[in-house]
Amino acid sequence: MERRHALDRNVMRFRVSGGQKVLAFIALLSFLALSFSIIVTNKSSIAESKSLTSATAPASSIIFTQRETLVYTVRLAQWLDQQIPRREVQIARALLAQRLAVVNTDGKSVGQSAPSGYLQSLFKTDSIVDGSSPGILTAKEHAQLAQLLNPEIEGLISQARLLVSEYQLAVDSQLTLSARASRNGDFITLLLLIFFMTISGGWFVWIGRTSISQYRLSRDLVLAEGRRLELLAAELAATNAVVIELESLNASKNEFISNISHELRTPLTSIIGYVDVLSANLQVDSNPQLIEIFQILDRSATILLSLVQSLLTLSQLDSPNKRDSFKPIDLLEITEDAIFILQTEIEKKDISVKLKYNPDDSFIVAGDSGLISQAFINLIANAVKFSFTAKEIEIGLTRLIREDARNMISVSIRDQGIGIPQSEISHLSERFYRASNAVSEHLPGTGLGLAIVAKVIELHGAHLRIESNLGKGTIFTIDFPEYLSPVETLIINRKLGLLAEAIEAIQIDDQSLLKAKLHEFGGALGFYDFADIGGELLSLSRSLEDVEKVADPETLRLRDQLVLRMKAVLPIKETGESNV
Amino acid sequence: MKLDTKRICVASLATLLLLTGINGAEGVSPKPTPTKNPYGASVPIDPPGPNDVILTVTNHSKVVKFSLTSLRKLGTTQISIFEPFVKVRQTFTVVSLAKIFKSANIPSTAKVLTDALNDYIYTNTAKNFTDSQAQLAIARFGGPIPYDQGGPIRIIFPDKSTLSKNLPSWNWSLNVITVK
Repeated sequence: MERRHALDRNVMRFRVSGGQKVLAFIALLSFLALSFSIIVTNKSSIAESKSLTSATAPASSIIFTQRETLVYTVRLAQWLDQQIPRREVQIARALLAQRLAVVNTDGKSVGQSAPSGYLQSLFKTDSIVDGSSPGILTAKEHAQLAQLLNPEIEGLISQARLLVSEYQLAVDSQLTLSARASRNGDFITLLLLIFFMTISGGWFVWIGRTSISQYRLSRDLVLAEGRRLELLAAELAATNAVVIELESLNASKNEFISNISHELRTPLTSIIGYVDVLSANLQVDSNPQLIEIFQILDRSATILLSLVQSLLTLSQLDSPNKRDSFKPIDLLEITEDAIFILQTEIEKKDISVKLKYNPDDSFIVAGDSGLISQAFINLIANAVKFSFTAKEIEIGLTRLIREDARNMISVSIRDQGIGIPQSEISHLSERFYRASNAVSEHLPGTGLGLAIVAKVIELHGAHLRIESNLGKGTIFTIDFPEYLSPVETLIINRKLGLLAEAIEAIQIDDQSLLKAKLHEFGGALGFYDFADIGGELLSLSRSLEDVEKVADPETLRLRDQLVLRMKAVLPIKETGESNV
Repeated sequence: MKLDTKRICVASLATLLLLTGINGAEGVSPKPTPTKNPYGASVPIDPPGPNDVILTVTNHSKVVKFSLTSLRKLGTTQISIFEPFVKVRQTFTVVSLAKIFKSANIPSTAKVLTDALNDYIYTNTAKNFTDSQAQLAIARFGGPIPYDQGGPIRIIFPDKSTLSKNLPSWNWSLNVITVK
């Protein structure tokens, strides 16, 4: 039982501990942080890529600006060479202005990012162009403006080149910052990854080690249990051999007694017969001493015959497989037959016999009618023998309805005789034992009658109770199990077997195990008609938390109450005690 | 029914005056507006007159010249788009580029060069332009488009059209369309 509980506990402990749960939680958190970090890093990379691939990215704007600047300077040169009117220069300048105003993906216009020298050169050309006359330049103006404008055109071209280099510096700076941020993000991601791998790896190792140790523990327990069972099997085999040998010896003894009894009974019957013949032929007054001798002979031979008959009966009772011949029998019929057989002795002592029973009930039990008749004759004959003259013997038959459907037939025989000392009641079933007051009163007997009764009752799975008041009388009560068909017997045995198993299983103090067992047997018992008990087991199970600890006293008290109730339902065989 | 000769004469005169007024209004050059471009020159550029040629479409031997007035005659609509260069929503008065192609008998398979005043050139097939519902903007918020803001005419595309994301195709200050 304890070993089985140890196995159960071991199996139930085979789960994640509190520390392992905490570690798993930390691993989960680190996984989430890692995921977040990866998402953020990727998001930055995507935004960066998008910016670099966009048409309004700073790089493309710078290139276009440089182009527009060159177009503008070409137009300026053409205007200065009197090839085009001022309006075309102004238009080229306007388109350059439009380009400088384009807003890039970084939210800034090219003009905002342009070097100040570039814009200064640009605005200087504006002042020169705006101050000139519209249309084609005159020769005079050409001479004046060439000196002013040529250095500005060259300045503007060189500044336009700076646009690219400045932009390149800005890009480099941006890339450096971006790379640094990316490196930091990657470093954090790497740290988180290492942390996550360490924690989750540790968790798996811990779980694995726990599982292996639990497995080893379970395996050791199972192996130990196997070895114990092997030892038990060996012991059982040895005991079985002894039992077979003893049974063989007992059978030889019974056969010997049976044979001897048969051999003795025949000459004894002849002796009694001849003594009766001789006694009948003697004159009453012929020889009083001889008459007394014949009476002694007759009585002794009768006692000897009774003794032989009893020994023969006992030897038959000891033979195995008696139960195989059991059939349904009516105890009322057997009782009435026994009373009829003993009618002469009853009348001799002027005793009245009252037979009480409910005519609506039947009193059928499974048994051997010959043996039960013998037992009833012995009990009623004892009642007659030990009763005072002109008293009453009451014989009652009662059918008892039981909760477990194992109904009983109770037969009681109450006399108003000398009674039995209390201290001797427990010895009455012993062979050749006679109550002290019966011996002192010189009442005849072999001391085998009640031994036969006890043996017959035991053979029939019945129980004998004896209550006695010295000088007032004795009540013998036999409780027989009512006859059941094989199917009925099978069902009841399964129900009661389960009940007995449940009683054993729930007598544990570990709350977690108790909860599991209460749940298991509660459901099963509910299925087998013990609806109330099953329901209460389930109810108690549900009230308990699945925690490995000793259950609180109130829970154990409720459990003990349930055990008592379950035991009360078990048949007398399990719980009742015979007074014999 | 007896015709009222006097009323007919008055109505005809009024109609004539109205048409003359409209024509006269179109014939007057709009005044230049000071630039709002912070990088523009301080002296504004006169916008082209309504009858000045501002677009030349050449389909091999066929040459069609357009002024603002003739462009308007092709039929204009108003569209509101997200302007990707200054990144604000703007409303333009537009002429469908498909109509312009049609006026010069440009087939959809033709390869078209769009040439700006600053010699910037973008090339694509006529079909790709028309599939993207390319429009020629001739006014913005009801007024002329300044040179320093891509005017006076420019190619634009409605939101979510295929070429709307292809910024090089948004040719500013369009000058010439040529079939290659």
